[in-house]
Amino acid sequence: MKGNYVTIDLALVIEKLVLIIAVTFLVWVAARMIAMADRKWLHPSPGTGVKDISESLFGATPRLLVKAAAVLMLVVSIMISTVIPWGEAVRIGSRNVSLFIARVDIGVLLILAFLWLGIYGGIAQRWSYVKNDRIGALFRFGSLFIACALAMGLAIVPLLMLAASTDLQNIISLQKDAVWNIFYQLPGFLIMLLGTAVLSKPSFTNDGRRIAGAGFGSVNAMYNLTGYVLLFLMGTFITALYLGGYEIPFVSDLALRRRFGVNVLFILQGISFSFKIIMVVAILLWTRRVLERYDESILIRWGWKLIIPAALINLAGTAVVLVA
Amino acid sequence: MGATFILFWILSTLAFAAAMGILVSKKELYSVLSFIVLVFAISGHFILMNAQFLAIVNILVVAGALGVMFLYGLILVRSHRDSEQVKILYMRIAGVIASLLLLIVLTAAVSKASQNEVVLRPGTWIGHVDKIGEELFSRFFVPFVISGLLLLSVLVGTVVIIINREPAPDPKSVTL
Amino acid sequence: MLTHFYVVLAFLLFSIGVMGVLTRRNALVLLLCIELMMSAGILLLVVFSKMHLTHANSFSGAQASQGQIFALFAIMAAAVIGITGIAVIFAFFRKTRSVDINFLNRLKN
Repeated sequence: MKGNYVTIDLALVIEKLVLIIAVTFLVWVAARMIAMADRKWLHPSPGTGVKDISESLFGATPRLLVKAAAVLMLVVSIMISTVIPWGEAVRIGSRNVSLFIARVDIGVLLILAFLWLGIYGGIAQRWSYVKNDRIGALFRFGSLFIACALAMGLAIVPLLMLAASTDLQNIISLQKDAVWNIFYQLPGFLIMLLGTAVLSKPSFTNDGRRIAGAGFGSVNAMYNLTGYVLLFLMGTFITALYLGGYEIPFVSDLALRRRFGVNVLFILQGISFSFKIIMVVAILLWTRRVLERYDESILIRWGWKLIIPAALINLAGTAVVLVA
Repeated sequence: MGATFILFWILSTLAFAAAMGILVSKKELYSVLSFIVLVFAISGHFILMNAQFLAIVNILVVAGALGVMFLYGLILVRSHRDSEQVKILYMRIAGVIASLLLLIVLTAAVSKASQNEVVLRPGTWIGHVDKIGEELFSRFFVPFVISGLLLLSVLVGTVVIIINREPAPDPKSVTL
Repeated sequence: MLTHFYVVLAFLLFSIGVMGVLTRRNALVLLLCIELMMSAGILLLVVFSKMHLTHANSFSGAQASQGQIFALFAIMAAAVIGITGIAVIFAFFRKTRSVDINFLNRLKN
């Protein structure tokens, strides 16, 4: 595989496959456990069981479709991790294994696409679990989701203009031993945080809270756990975009590499990356908890009237500064 | 060649099955889902041909935005289901025969064409983001701007088409 | 991969779309079949943009990517068609309470 093919290390492919299968299985086990616990300790409220999944809309085989949608949403969320580089390289034996899929020059767009596909999961969940005012719930969810996803897309575009690339590896290496993007793009960072906090919570809105509140089967638990997977991976993505990714702050990575070698640098970078991710995820969880207090109609209004114009102004301002 | 060949056949079978799913499924929901599968299969073909940017745009625009629009249209339309579609057998048979004839004619038209290979020549970077961006913002800038204007006019036009000029119906009657 | 395979695949998808337009009476499915035909055309555009490179006196890379830019505009056109079509379907659904296009016969009078 030479030339302008996407070159992929086989070990990396196996690692990602194992990751996807393992996380899917673990989440499935966790969802089953939650469902069992619900069945045992919560007395199910009438009319909210798994049995009445929207017979009026799906017809004969509703449950298979909803289950398939849950698993697919989880896999799509985990797929975000495949394009995020976790470090520079690691030396196994005598060869350097680079820890990113080389030259995925659509990396950021790929993550946006996977994020956007999450709307199907939300639609399937509401379609199956909301009983009263289903159309209203679906449209409120769609409006909120589109506002957030649009604002996030608009917030990323100035970064792509700064880096002149859509390759995540390029964006990280531009921040290496230099100023992090957050100091150029603070509004974008905040918009990404808000958007992720809203999007990663399937039970965010009032309808969602109605869904999550009652004891449900393992499928609904799986949808909710997918939100956490998405939260963690989007935290990773935001770290890579705005906080320098695996770059170690205050020290020159190059000097460290010369001094200690590749493997030590890999471990140090891993520690640095994990620390940053934990910080971002903590902020995200806090934001989510705060935003949970507000009604969804207020959130939709903020999204369309405040956040999206702010993202547009940020985009235009960055363009003017870059050209001038 | 081997891996490309196998992937081509898998994706082609998937695309064909999804297209047949659009055609034959009784419920509109399954038609829409088949359409989404079809878009993913075609995006897989694009990636196979190393047209990565188009693949991702296809997923984002068609499978993402358009599929969601179809789903929401379906939700609105399915909610008042009272009419069974009229089935005319002769028209169906005529339609099947006509489209099969079209397929035969089209295939016969290209059967004498010279054999060519889809080649990924190294170093050209065709289909990558920077190459398409360069072309789009230099030679094709005016069409690009005009297509933006088209999108804007579609936005306005859709609202004009769909806007409710009559008094709103009782919301209690719109139930699922 | 020979181009013929792709061409035949695109023709197959296109004819399935034509079949759907001629046989189905549901407006939403009709619109989906039109999108299917658009997708087949876009697939062909991308295939031919790659096929140009095989010739000895082939186009330069910049010229070959014109096919893909045309495909980009075609994707945009497909989206425009879809959105406008759904709007029209919804407009006449509100009048007739149905998505069966046989009801459009009423427009004659």
